[in-house]
Amino acid sequence: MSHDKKYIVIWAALLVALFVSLGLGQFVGNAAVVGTIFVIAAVKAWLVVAEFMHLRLEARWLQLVFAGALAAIMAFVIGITPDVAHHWSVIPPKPEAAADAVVVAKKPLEPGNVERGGKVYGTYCVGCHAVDGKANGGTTGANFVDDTTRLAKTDAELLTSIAEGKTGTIGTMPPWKGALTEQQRVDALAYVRATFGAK
Amino acid sequence: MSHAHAAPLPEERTSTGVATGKVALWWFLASEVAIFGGLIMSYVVCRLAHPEWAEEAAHTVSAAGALNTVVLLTSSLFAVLAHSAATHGDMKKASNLLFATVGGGLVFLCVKAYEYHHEISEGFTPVASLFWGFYFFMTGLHGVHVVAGMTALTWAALKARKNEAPWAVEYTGMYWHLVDVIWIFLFPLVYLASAS
Repeated sequence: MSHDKKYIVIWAALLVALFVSLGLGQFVGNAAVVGTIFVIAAVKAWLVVAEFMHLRLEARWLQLVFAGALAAIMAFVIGITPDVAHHWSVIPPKPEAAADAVVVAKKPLEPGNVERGGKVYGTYCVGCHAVDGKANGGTTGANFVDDTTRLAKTDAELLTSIAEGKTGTIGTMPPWKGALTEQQRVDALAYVRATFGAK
Repeated sequence: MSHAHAAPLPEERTSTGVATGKVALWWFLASEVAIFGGLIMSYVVCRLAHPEWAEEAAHTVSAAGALNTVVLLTSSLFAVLAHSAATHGDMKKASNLLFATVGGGLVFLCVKAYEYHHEISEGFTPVASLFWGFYFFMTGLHGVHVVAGMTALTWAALKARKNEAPWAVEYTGMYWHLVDVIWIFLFPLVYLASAS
């Protein structure tokens, strides 16, 4: 049963190759190591196909049937790679875009623009804070006009409340950082200060 | 064509010099290569375009993947030893070895079920991201092939017990080896090439 011995030797070699790959897996930051791992995988696959499935001993044309499938896959990769490369060079990956946005947000913005802020206030804030900034007598939100402690806070404090939302004695203001850009929030605050603040 | 074929079993119908059943099987296996090859290479191309997937891939359980590789390689050894026993006319031994192969498939599925449970309970569902979509689709499709292989192997083992269908020992084994080969590629793709 010399065949059986050969199979067991091949099986042992496959296990050794697995453990070599596992060892190399500790260093996958290195492109050469990753390449080696996949060369090992290809060799393992070849051993199974050639020796366990006996493709090595089959008729040449039958080997070509199998090789043809592999060639079709290579043609597929060559076909899609230019599109994928183009796609991701035109549209940058999302996480990087988000990271950029954070960096931009840390940079100085344009000073708050009262005119633009008025449009933001009229669309997003007026529902609770009302046109006169009194929030229906301070029942649906902060009354900017009669409660002078409201606008006595610093811009930083108020911008944080606008961005993150706030729960106080009256109720909860939702966070606006998703719906409004930082520029829009700065503009809205400028409008509120200019329109309802102490003159 | 009168090449020497690997230990021919008593399957005589042929119009090509190779048993017709074996020609059909190789054709079928080549189509499997196209199915998994297309899926795997799509993943590879996307993965190269998304270096940040490494952080998600780091959440796969490498030890479980390595254990399952050992299990599948060993079950493949049982399958080829079953083929060897059948060519020597020992159908009882062939049957036993095929059942051992099926046992390997069972162990593989148990480990995989543990992994899926672990990943999904951590929030890594098939729709969590494109990486996890690929992960569950590739390993899930492979898992379906494991179940299909176990079914075919069980049938062949029961036939072999009755000294019937000796060709099925070889053919179901060949299918099982291909399932093993696919895993040989999936293992480094979703487990090893992860840590950054």
